[in-house]
Amino acid sequence: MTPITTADIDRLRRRIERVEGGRMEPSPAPRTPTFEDFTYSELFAQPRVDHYDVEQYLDGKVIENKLGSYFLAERFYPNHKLHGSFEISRLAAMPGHWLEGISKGDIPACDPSRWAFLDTETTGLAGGTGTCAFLIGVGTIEPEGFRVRLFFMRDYDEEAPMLRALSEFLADYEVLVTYNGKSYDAPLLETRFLLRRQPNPLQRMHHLDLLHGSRSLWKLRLESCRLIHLECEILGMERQGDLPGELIPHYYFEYLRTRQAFKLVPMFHHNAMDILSLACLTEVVLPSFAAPEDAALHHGADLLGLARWLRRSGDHAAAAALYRKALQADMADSELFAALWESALIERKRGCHEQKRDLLLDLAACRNPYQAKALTELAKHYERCEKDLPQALDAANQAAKLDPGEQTDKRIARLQRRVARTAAADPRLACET
Amino acid sequence: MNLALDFGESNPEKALAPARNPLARTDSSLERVVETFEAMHATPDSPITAIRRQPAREAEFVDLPATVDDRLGNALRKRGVEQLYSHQGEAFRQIQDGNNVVIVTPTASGKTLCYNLPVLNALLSDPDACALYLFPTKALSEDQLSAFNEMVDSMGSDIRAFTYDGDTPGDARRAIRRRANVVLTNPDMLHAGVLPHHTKWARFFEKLQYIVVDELHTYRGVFGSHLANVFRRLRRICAFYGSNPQFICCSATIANPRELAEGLTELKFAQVDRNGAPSGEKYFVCYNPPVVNRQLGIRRSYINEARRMAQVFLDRGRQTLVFANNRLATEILVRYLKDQYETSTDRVERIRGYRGGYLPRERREIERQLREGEILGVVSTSALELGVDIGSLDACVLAGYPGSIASTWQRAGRAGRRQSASVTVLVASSAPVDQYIIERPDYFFEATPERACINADNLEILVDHLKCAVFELPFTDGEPYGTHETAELLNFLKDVGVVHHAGNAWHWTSESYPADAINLRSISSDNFVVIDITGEAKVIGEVAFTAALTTLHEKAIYLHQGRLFHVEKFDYAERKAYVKSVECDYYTDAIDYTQVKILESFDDRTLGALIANHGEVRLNRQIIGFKKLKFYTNENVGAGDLQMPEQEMHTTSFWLRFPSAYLESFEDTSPTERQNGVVGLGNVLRTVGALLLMCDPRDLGVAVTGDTPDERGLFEPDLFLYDNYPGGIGQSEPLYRMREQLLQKARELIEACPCEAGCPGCVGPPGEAGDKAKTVALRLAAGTAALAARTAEGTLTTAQEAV
Repeated sequence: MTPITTADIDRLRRRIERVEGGRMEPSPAPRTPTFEDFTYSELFAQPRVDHYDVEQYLDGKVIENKLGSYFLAERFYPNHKLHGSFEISRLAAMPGHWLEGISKGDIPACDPSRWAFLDTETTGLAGGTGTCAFLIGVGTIEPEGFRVRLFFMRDYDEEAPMLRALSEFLADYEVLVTYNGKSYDAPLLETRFLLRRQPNPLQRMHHLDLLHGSRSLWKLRLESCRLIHLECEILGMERQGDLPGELIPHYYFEYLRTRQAFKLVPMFHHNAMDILSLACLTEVVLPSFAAPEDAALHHGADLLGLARWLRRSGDHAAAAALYRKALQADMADSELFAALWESALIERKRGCHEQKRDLLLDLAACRNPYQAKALTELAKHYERCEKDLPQALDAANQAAKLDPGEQTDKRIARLQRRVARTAAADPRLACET
Repeated sequence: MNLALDFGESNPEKALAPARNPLARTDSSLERVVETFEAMHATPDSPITAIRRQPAREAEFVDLPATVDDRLGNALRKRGVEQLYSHQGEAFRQIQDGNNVVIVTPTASGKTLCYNLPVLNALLSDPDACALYLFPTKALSEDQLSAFNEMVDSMGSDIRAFTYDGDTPGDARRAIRRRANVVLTNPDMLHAGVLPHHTKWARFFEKLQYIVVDELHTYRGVFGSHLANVFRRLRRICAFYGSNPQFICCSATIANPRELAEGLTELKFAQVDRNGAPSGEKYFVCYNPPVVNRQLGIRRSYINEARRMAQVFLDRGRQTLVFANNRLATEILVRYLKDQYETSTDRVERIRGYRGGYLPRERREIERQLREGEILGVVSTSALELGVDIGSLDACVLAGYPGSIASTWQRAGRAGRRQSASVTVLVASSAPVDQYIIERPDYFFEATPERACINADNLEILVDHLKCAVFELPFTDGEPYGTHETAELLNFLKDVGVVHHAGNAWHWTSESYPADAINLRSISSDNFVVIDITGEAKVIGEVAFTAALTTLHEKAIYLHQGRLFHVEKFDYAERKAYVKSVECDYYTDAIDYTQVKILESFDDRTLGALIANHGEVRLNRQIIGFKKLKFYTNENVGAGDLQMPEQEMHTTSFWLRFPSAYLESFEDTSPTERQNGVVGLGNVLRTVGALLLMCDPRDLGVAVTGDTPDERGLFEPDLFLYDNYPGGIGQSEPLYRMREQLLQKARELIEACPCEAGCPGCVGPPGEAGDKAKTVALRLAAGTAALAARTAEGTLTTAQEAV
């Protein structure tokens, strides 16, 4: 076997340059930082030197453990502060049983002081073993306020000590709360713990991924259920000068090469804000699932979302109540028709035929996507529940006009036969037909 | 009907005139067909150039080894396996001894049991153990899964085996990773879907005991070089999880199976090659379509002759497999045979086509129909050359030389009943290699099959996989990659900006997923889908990127199961082609145009008056138009221009420069004739080069540039013989080293060729090669060869050394 020489590599380098036109590894063009990207102290504090260590830029300290060192920063948000329009003190007041509703009983009640809110910043979205979480923020509820701990690896050799510290820290917590963590953060961390041969604390914890509940509530009304969007729409919080998430890996790699730590400052802020918003949103989302009948939701679309969630969970009585509430609130026509139709189906399942009939009559009365289906349902209703064959035939005929088909034709034919039979038995009806 | 009738005509069609109704034939035995062939062979100038008989052979049995678990032994006995063939027993013993084993046996010799037996035995004794099976195609994985599961079922065991590939649905993947004992997949999936996510497979890798590599011989050239690097990554990951799996490889007959296995895995192997399986009598017939115009060197169309040969067997109700070398030839043959055997009112199809572009469901159906004897004939591309289970057939017709000795035997192996005789007929096309083989049958029968060459250290391939390896696991300082030191390479990757050194290790620091950028097989993994919009739109097939450009361009006639479709729209950006069913009497053939630009010359030497070089080139290929050719007559009935996107490829090449002063010295020839000579020599060099390198001729591309006089009126062409793979696979350097021999052999080939002024067997047929091509080419080869022999006196390398 011929050893690879420097000359070979030079040749390769030249080839790659030729083939790719000198562009070896495409990287996103860094956005020119704007004035808002920096705090006052960053802009005016120190003279430029070659290395800007992270500890000079961020409140925090380097911590040693038996595997090495890592960097830990902390942020504290006292109870009296507002996050947008949300008062931090509400966090500590959450009752532990709120977890039961949203998890359909999978997560037992647990005091919020044992909940850990987690979010990671990673070196990419590609997935696989080459993607690493270099900043892991964990928020916890304390009597005096909300505390976020930011575990950070200043370089790759600090990953194992950082993970070990995280693992040890999480040992005191029972519930993990994330936003999209079930499909993103948790599997990624599982891989990191495995690769670094560290115990994975997440396996032991109950995991609440708030994304799913949030989507149920707001998917219909809001164009996006990204955390940053809900933060603005629901918590009324406008982030100033936040850095775009897609640039985060790029900034971290640049920091590794240049040790210019000031670019990391907005990243720490971004992560801490995400975690605080996650905690506040949890306080908003959970009660609706814990006690749907009292949900403090005012938009019809939100109520409809919750009603659908209840229907999927199999709680038909609660779902029916929520549908009724939703129908009284404001909502767009398309949602209104969907709500009427779903509501009718729920009532049918519950055996509440009168309610069902009224809802179907509403749908049958005007032009909408469910009109034909509603008429067909009405025909069945009149035939089976009220034994009113002429009414049933009338509804079936109307349905056939809107949506002709074999099924409908069969139904009409059958109804006509039955009407004729009944008519033969009852001469009064015969005259009518 | 009398079989011997008219055989003096040297025409199989007449000699074995087709009977419309196979049932009416009284004597349908293959022996009678062979007798007729033999009689034809005895006549002078017979188109049958050789007939070889391989006698039937008895089985060699050994007892089932005592270490085989009772449950497994009973299951085997239930299936009628009381004893093992000797090679199966030998493989089992070697594997039990802890050796990596490569098993070399022909088609249908029970090789599946060679690996299933030790694996099942191990899984029975340790229910947590795992095995990884690799097959070159998804179809083979499916096939082997059902064979494996039949064994598992008959043992009543709960061993869990699954295929895992691009078709596996997302939710099933999770369960497979968690529960599978045996995973059947392909190298591409292992490379891009498994290794980069190895933490999800932690349980599997920890318990991985066996890696089975079937169809080992397919992993040659670029594909093999990639796989060798995938194995370097795989073994690194196994080491991380503390396992050290044993390899079991199966190969068709090639020259160097053990060397290939050892090259791919960088491990020592034991070879098992004494076949103990029985076989019936086999005949191999070489058939060269008769010359119809001696002056022009034109022979009867080999496609038509292959069709006639197939009919000889089909007429007698014999299940026959016809192999064609490309999809177009496949489809044309399907069409011709359907014309013969099916009427539009037939409810059953008796003739089917089979190729990669058909949808999987359609292929499974054809395989089943073949096994169960529901269809009589199948025309296939190389897709059926591999171990897809279609049972054994009576006859096999090879329409054109498959390009290598190994694959010829592999295809011929499809014909072969255990009890009765079988026949394979090789019908030569007019391609130079075909003619070389068919006119020298002894060369073919006596030659060892090709060597499978890989170059695992091809720097580009190696660096690409090194990236994947860093992505998968950080490299600690001093950790080797395969047998390589990594410091230099990792420093290089650092400069490129994708890795970073911290502590004592190298880490991946890029957002990209490197495996996605590396395709193990060809330039582009993109597929075009073919959508039939005659009625309700439906997908009827898929076509690989490069083939799509030549078969799915607008106005092309696309053939599918012998049906004709007109391409209405070719959507390059969306990778779709919309076709409508048509009836017409022609098909289309694309015309391409290739330009070569020299990027860097690594070395050059004068070779007589010529200058030989090797180095790097860039090829630009474009489809510029197409011809319309009539079915059966191949008459050119029209043409069209096309505006197609240009394809670019960087590769390595060997080339010869012909200085204008030297060409000027050919006083009695015109510039056009000199150019004809250079092009003609190119044809010969490819034939000879492929034989010297023992590679597939299709691995070598030929191009001539500077073939028109420049602005000074000077004609100074370069003749390129390039690696027909992106990035090159290391064939140019040996060609460069063997340059004297290359030209010497070229001269011998031209001199020995009896044609008047060029034929497909040397510089090309006169209509194509142009005036005086043969004489000029001979002069070029002879002049330089003689001069070269003098300049390189005493340093002449032999082919074997150079390879």
